[in-house]
Amino acid sequence: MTWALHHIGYLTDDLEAEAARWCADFGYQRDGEIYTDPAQTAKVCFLRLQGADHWLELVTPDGPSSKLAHALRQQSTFHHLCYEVPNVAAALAALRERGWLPLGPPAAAIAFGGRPVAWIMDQRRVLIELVEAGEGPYQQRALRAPK
Amino acid sequence: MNTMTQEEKIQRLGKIFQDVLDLPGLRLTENFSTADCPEWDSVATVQIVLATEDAFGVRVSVENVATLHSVREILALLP
Repeated sequence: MTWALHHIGYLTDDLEAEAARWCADFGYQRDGEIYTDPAQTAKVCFLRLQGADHWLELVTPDGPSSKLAHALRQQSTFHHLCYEVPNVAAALAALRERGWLPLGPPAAAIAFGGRPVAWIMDQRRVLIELVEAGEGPYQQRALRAPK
Repeated sequence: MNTMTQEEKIQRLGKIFQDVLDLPGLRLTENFSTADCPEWDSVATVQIVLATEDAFGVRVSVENVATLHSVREILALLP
Protein backbone atom coordinates (compact mmCIF):
# COMPACT_ATOMS: atom_id res chain seq x y z
CA MET A 1 0.00 0.00 0.00
CA THR A 2 1.26 3.47 -0.85
CA TRP A 3 0.05 6.54 1.01
CA ALA A 4 0.40 9.92 -0.67
CA LEU A 5 -0.71 13.01 1.23
CA HIS A 6 -3.52 14.39 -0.89
CA HIS A 7 -4.83 17.25 1.23
CA ILE A 8 -5.17 18.74 4.68
CA GLY A 9 -8.78 19.35 5.63
CA TYR A 10 -9.50 22.62 7.42
CA LEU A 11 -12.95 23.23 8.86
CA THR A 12 -14.44 26.71 8.70
CA ASP A 13 -17.81 28.44 8.90
CA ASP A 14 -17.00 30.74 5.97
CA LEU A 15 -15.29 29.30 2.88
CA GLU A 16 -14.81 32.59 1.06
CA ALA A 17 -13.37 34.48 4.02
CA GLU A 18 -11.12 31.56 4.96
CA ALA A 19 -9.85 31.16 1.39
CA ALA A 20 -9.07 34.85 1.18
CA ARG A 21 -7.16 34.66 4.45
CA TRP A 22 -4.97 31.69 3.42
CA CYS A 23 -4.31 33.25 0.02
CA ALA A 24 -3.37 36.63 1.48
CA ASP A 25 -1.34 35.34 4.44
CA PHE A 26 0.55 32.43 2.85
CA GLY A 27 0.26 32.80 -0.91
CA TYR A 28 -2.16 29.96 -1.61
CA GLN A 29 -4.09 30.05 -4.86
CA ARG A 30 -7.66 28.89 -5.40
CA ASP A 31 -7.83 25.65 -7.40
CA GLY A 32 -11.31 25.03 -8.80
CA GLU A 33 -14.82 25.87 -7.74
CA ILE A 34 -16.79 25.32 -4.55
CA TYR A 35 -18.32 21.82 -4.54
CA THR A 36 -21.42 20.83 -2.58
CA ASP A 37 -21.50 17.14 -1.70
CA PRO A 38 -24.74 15.97 -0.03
CA ALA A 39 -23.20 12.59 0.84
CA GLN A 40 -20.53 14.38 2.85
CA THR A 41 -23.01 17.05 4.07
CA ALA A 42 -20.32 19.55 3.16
CA LYS A 43 -19.20 22.30 0.86
CA VAL A 44 -15.51 22.24 -0.04
CA CYS A 45 -12.95 24.15 -2.05
CA PHE A 46 -9.28 23.54 -2.67
CA LEU A 47 -6.25 25.82 -2.37
CA ARG A 48 -2.67 25.04 -3.31
CA LEU A 49 0.72 26.61 -2.93
CA GLN A 50 2.64 26.93 -6.15
CA GLY A 51 4.69 23.75 -6.65
CA ALA A 52 3.14 21.92 -3.69
CA ASP A 53 2.24 18.23 -4.07
CA HIS A 54 -0.92 18.44 -1.98
CA TRP A 55 -3.90 20.71 -1.42
CA LEU A 56 -5.43 22.57 1.49
CA GLU A 57 -9.13 21.68 1.52
CA LEU A 58 -11.47 24.15 3.16
CA VAL A 59 -14.62 22.44 4.43
CA THR A 60 -17.84 23.88 5.77
CA PRO A 61 -21.15 22.28 6.75
CA ASP A 62 -23.81 22.39 4.02
CA GLY A 63 -26.46 23.21 6.62
CA PRO A 64 -27.31 23.07 10.33
CA SER A 65 -27.89 19.30 10.27
CA SER A 66 -24.51 18.57 8.65
CA LYS A 67 -22.33 15.88 10.23
CA LEU A 68 -19.67 18.61 10.46
CA ALA A 69 -21.74 21.08 12.47
CA HIS A 70 -20.82 19.52 15.81
CA ALA A 71 -17.07 19.53 15.02
CA LEU A 72 -17.31 23.16 13.95
CA ARG A 73 -19.01 24.10 17.22
CA GLN A 74 -16.06 22.49 18.99
CA GLN A 75 -13.76 24.70 16.94
CA SER A 76 -11.90 21.72 15.54
CA THR A 77 -10.38 23.67 12.67
CA PHE A 78 -7.58 21.35 11.56
CA HIS A 79 -9.97 18.52 10.85
CA HIS A 80 -8.35 15.69 8.89
CA LEU A 81 -5.55 14.44 6.67
CA CYS A 82 -6.41 12.81 3.35
CA TYR A 83 -4.23 10.21 1.68
CA GLU A 84 -4.54 9.12 -1.94
CA VAL A 85 -4.31 5.34 -2.16
CA PRO A 86 -4.46 2.87 -5.05
CA ASN A 87 -7.50 1.10 -3.60
CA VAL A 88 -9.68 2.52 -0.82
CA ALA A 89 -11.21 -0.82 0.17
CA ALA A 90 -7.79 -2.42 0.54
CA ALA A 91 -6.49 0.57 2.53
CA LEU A 92 -9.50 0.38 4.86
CA ALA A 93 -8.87 -3.32 5.43
CA ALA A 94 -5.18 -2.71 6.18
CA LEU A 95 -5.96 0.06 8.67
CA ARG A 96 -8.73 -2.00 10.28
CA GLU A 97 -6.11 -4.63 11.05
CA ARG A 98 -4.07 -1.91 12.76
CA GLY A 99 -6.92 -0.86 15.03
CA TRP A 100 -8.56 1.91 13.01
CA LEU A 101 -12.35 1.98 12.58
CA PRO A 102 -14.04 2.98 9.31
CA LEU A 103 -16.85 5.48 9.83
CA GLY A 104 -18.79 3.98 6.94
CA PRO A 105 -18.47 2.31 3.56
CA PRO A 106 -16.64 4.11 0.72
CA ALA A 107 -18.77 6.68 -1.12
CA ALA A 108 -18.37 8.51 -4.43
CA ALA A 109 -17.09 12.06 -3.93
CA ILE A 110 -18.38 14.82 -6.16
CA ALA A 111 -15.22 16.92 -5.93
CA PHE A 112 -13.11 13.99 -7.14
CA GLY A 113 -15.27 13.11 -10.13
CA GLY A 114 -16.89 10.18 -8.35
CA ARG A 115 -13.71 8.52 -7.13
CA PRO A 116 -14.47 6.76 -3.83
CA VAL A 117 -13.55 8.26 -0.48
CA ALA A 118 -13.80 6.78 3.01
CA TRP A 119 -13.25 8.01 6.54
CA ILE A 120 -11.42 6.24 9.34
CA MET A 121 -10.53 7.11 12.94
CA ASP A 122 -8.39 5.70 15.73
CA GLN A 123 -8.44 5.92 19.52
CA ARG A 124 -6.44 9.16 19.45
CA ARG A 125 -9.40 10.66 17.52
CA VAL A 126 -7.18 11.20 14.49
CA LEU A 127 -9.48 11.53 11.50
CA ILE A 128 -8.20 10.31 8.13
CA GLU A 129 -9.87 10.49 4.74
CA LEU A 130 -8.83 8.10 1.98
CA VAL A 131 -9.35 8.94 -1.69
CA GLU A 132 -8.81 6.45 -4.45
CA ALA A 133 -6.31 7.27 -7.17
CA GLY A 134 -7.70 7.37 -10.68
CA GLU A 135 -9.08 9.57 -13.39
CA GLY A 136 -10.76 12.86 -12.59
CA PRO A 137 -9.98 16.14 -10.88
CA TYR A 138 -7.49 16.59 -8.05
CA GLN A 139 -5.16 13.66 -8.78
CA GLN A 140 -2.26 13.79 -6.35
CA ARG A 141 -0.09 11.74 -8.67
CA ALA A 142 -0.48 14.48 -11.32
CA LEU A 143 1.22 16.90 -8.91
CA ARG A 144 4.17 14.51 -8.64
CA ALA A 145 4.56 14.00 -12.39
CA PRO A 146 7.94 15.09 -13.76
CA LYS A 147 7.80 18.61 -15.16
CA MET B 1 -15.80 -14.13 26.92
CA ASN B 2 -18.56 -16.61 26.11
CA THR B 3 -19.28 -17.14 29.79
CA MET B 4 -20.05 -13.48 30.45
CA THR B 5 -23.64 -12.69 31.24
CA GLN B 6 -25.44 -9.77 29.63
CA GLU B 7 -25.23 -7.92 32.94
CA GLU B 8 -21.46 -8.42 33.11
CA LYS B 9 -21.09 -7.13 29.56
CA ILE B 10 -23.17 -4.04 30.38
CA GLN B 11 -21.07 -3.47 33.49
CA ARG B 12 -17.88 -3.58 31.44
CA LEU B 13 -19.41 -1.34 28.79
CA GLY B 14 -20.48 1.06 31.53
CA LYS B 15 -16.88 1.92 32.39
CA ILE B 16 -16.15 2.53 28.70
CA PHE B 17 -19.15 4.82 28.30
CA GLN B 18 -18.22 6.71 31.47
CA ASP B 19 -14.71 7.32 30.18
CA VAL B 20 -15.58 8.17 26.57
CA LEU B 21 -18.57 10.38 27.39
CA ASP B 22 -16.84 11.84 30.46
CA LEU B 23 -19.87 10.99 32.58
CA PRO B 24 -18.47 9.28 35.71
CA GLY B 25 -21.92 8.95 37.28
CA LEU B 26 -23.52 7.24 34.29
CA ARG B 27 -25.45 4.04 35.07
CA LEU B 28 -25.65 2.18 31.79
CA THR B 29 -28.64 0.15 30.73
CA GLU B 30 -29.38 -1.86 27.61
CA ASN B 31 -31.83 0.82 26.50
CA PHE B 32 -29.39 3.73 26.79
CA SER B 33 -29.19 5.47 23.43
CA THR B 34 -27.93 8.55 21.63
CA ALA B 35 -31.35 10.09 22.24
CA ASP B 36 -30.59 10.06 25.98
CA CYS B 37 -27.20 11.69 25.73
CA PRO B 38 -26.11 14.69 23.63
CA GLU B 39 -22.47 13.84 24.36
CA TRP B 40 -22.85 10.57 22.42
CA ASP B 41 -21.98 11.74 18.89
CA SER B 42 -20.37 9.88 15.98
CA VAL B 43 -16.83 10.48 17.28
CA ALA B 44 -17.87 9.03 20.65
CA THR B 45 -19.34 6.01 18.87
CA VAL B 46 -15.98 5.32 17.23
CA GLN B 47 -14.21 5.63 20.57
CA ILE B 48 -16.76 3.37 22.27
CA VAL B 49 -16.44 0.67 19.61
CA LEU B 50 -12.63 0.76 19.62
CA ALA B 51 -12.48 0.67 23.44
CA THR B 52 -15.02 -2.18 23.43
CA GLU B 53 -12.77 -4.16 21.09
CA ASP B 54 -9.87 -3.67 23.50
CA ALA B 55 -11.87 -4.46 26.61
CA PHE B 56 -13.50 -7.60 25.21
CA GLY B 57 -10.54 -8.75 23.13
CA VAL B 58 -12.61 -8.93 19.96
CA ARG B 59 -12.66 -7.31 16.54
CA VAL B 60 -16.25 -6.45 15.73
CA SER B 61 -17.76 -6.30 12.27
CA VAL B 62 -19.48 -3.00 11.69
CA GLU B 63 -20.40 -1.66 8.26
CA ASN B 64 -21.31 1.82 9.38
CA VAL B 65 -20.75 3.23 12.86
CA ALA B 66 -23.32 5.94 12.11
CA THR B 67 -26.01 3.25 12.41
CA LEU B 68 -25.10 2.46 16.03
CA HIS B 69 -27.40 4.39 18.35
CA SER B 70 -27.89 2.25 21.46
CA VAL B 71 -26.17 -0.01 23.96
CA ARG B 72 -28.34 -2.83 22.67
CA GLU B 73 -26.88 -2.42 19.18
CA ILE B 74 -23.33 -2.45 20.57
CA LEU B 75 -24.09 -5.55 22.64
CA ALA B 76 -25.26 -7.21 19.43
CA LEU B 77 -21.77 -6.78 17.98
CA LEU B 78 -20.25 -8.87 20.77
CA PRO B 79 -19.94 -12.65 20.52
